[in-house]
Amino acid sequence: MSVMSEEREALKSAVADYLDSTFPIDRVHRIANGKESVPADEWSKAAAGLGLAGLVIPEEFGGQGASLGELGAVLQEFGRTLAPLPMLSSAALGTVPFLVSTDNAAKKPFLEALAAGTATAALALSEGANQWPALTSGTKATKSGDSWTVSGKKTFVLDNGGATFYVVSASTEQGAGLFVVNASDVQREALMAIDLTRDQGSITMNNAPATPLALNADAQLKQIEDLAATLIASEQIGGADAILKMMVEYAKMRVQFGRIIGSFQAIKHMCANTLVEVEQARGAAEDAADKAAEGEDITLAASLAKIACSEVFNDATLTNIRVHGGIGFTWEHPAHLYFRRARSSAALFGTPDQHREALLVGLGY
Amino acid sequence: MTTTTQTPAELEEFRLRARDWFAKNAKRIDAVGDDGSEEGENEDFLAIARKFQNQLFDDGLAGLSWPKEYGGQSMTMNHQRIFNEEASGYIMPSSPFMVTLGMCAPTLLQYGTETQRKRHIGPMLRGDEVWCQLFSEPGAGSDVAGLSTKAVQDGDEWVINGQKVWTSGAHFASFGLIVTRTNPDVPKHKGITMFIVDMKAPGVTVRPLRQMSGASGFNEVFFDNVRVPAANLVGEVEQGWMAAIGTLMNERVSIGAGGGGLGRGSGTPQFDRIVELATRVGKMNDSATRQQIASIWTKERTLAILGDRMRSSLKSGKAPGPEGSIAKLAGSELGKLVADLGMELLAESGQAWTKDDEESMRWATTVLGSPGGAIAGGTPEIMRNILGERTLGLPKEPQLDRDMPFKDIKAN
Repeated sequence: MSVMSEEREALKSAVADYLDSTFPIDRVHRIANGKESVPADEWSKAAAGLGLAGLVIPEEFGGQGASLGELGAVLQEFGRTLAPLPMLSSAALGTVPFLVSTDNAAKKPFLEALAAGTATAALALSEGANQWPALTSGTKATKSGDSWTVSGKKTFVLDNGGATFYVVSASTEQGAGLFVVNASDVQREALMAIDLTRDQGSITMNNAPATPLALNADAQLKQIEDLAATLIASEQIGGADAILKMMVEYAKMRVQFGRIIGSFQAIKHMCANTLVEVEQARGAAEDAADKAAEGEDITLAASLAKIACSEVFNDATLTNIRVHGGIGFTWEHPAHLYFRRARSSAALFGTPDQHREALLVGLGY
Repeated sequence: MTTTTQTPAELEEFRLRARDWFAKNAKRIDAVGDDGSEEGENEDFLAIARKFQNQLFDDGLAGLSWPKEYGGQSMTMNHQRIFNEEASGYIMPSSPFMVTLGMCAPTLLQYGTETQRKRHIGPMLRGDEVWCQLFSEPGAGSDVAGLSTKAVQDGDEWVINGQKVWTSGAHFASFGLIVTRTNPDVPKHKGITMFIVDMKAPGVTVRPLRQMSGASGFNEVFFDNVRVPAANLVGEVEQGWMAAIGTLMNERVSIGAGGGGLGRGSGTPQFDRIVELATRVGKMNDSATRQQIASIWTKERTLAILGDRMRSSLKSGKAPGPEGSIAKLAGSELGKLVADLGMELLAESGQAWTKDDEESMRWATTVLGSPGGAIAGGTPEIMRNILGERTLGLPKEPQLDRDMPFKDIKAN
């Protein structure tokens, strides 16, 4: 059941066509296994062709000026295909801090490079596990004359290895601030990640030169956390929807006991339960993205979307493996790529439990 | 359904009109814990509901998106949405009309004759005619198509014999939509015919059926040589099954999303009720309880969003699809969560209480009503079959009776 506008459906389907032809799941699998790599110019080609890199960047900075609702729709397609391009990490998470910032002069060169696809940004908020919303106390920004430097460590950064620059939260003498730091000025370390389709790492900064995007930025940081939860939820629901289709397709094809296994109620009901969860989570995800596009306060809607989409993606990827049986937990089958992505995304930008607690606080309890 | 465009100013004017109407004609919700389960028993409640619906109709606010020629307002889904928003926070005494307006009227709009629509839709919208649906039978529950109530043609009339059950509102309904077996020599889905039946006709006997919660919202209805004019046929002879499916899909939208045509606003009453209870028993700071309470909020909100999306796709002209089953499943899941958490929080006082403890009494009604809420309108397992087969396209279980003449099928 879709309630998207025709324009948004058209964009979504153009992105789907591009991703299906460029990144079929067996290619994603080869890339995840290190047997193939993504050509260096793939992202800038996608930027030029479909305008993905600058989708939500205002036209004055060279972007498409699309809304966060459109971005959510596109992220669903990236979640569906697990395409190894920095759509979530750079075009979404790495870009929204610039939209939240009001310092046009500071953000102009970065946004223009992002829109052209010649640079990618990574959002570096977290300083460690089990801290959400992310703390800034372990990262200090210091001003000397007219210039700023940042020192400290950030981790769980998505697409860390390929980032051109980082958007970093740090504490200053006047509260939290948001800064841009060049990749050449940080020390990068790759993390071992459960998700094989997305690189993760940490960065260490020792007096790294930094461009301030926003100071006294506690409110902006909160807004960025809410947007991050909303955007990753859009990607999650795309993944869950792909998994529902995968399990149904298999249930219609596989024969055991002389019958198509999807005719057994035990299997059919697993698929139906997944559908029920997917349709509800889709509503929550699109509601949050639409509210964000309208500039409404999305504190509650973002938590709702992150909870619903994390849970359905986790549940669906497990159910899918069970519907498949033995083949489902082999390395060669793509089911585990989604199972891995689901567990990774559920843990990032607030776990479901953390968001449930935040919801009650947000509702005044 | 019309799709005339309207300016923001017109919509704003409509909003003010609706707001004004509710302020004048409706009562604010000031008590929590009303699950509506006892409303059906109360004749006074029907009178109150009828007066409310009369006023709604006379002031041009009933059947907002239904065609004008049958008594509706031919307005848009935006008007309906605004009306629902303004209704939020007010008591809508509309449950006696849920079957009439949420299920029977849409079926007549889709399958009825022009004469039937002109004759009945207006009085239905005005609350003058309450309808019931006569589908389930003692021997035909999940398998409604296995029904055995017979209708035999006799000149210009049909003669009905048999028994229906689980009929909401039959004791105060003036008409019913009944599905009957008119041909036992063809497979079960093919020999079914739908009629409008006058509930006051000679030979109709209504007996209340008491549920485990103590409430009597349903009835058994007996048909003993009840004569129905041929003009009361809904759709074609032996084509009743398709019309019945349409009615049932409308029913699931109504049950799952909390009120079809009239809507119930955008609040989170279940969450509010649980928070009040948790606060009263001093568990609002318990982290395990907080997780469960937050889950109730998330499930209630996602269900509300789903209901809005479903209604907006319905009102944009699409016939109800199996999505109603999604709402119904999600709704009964929420009902179970609320009942379980309520009992957990009440602990001993959920199972025995003093005479003046109305709160515990209300919770007992909720807990005892929750199994029936999940089963009424189709069990969760039937809902999952519908979703698996109609929405996802999975094959049916092998069926022993599908192509067999009805008279040869094994029955209860």
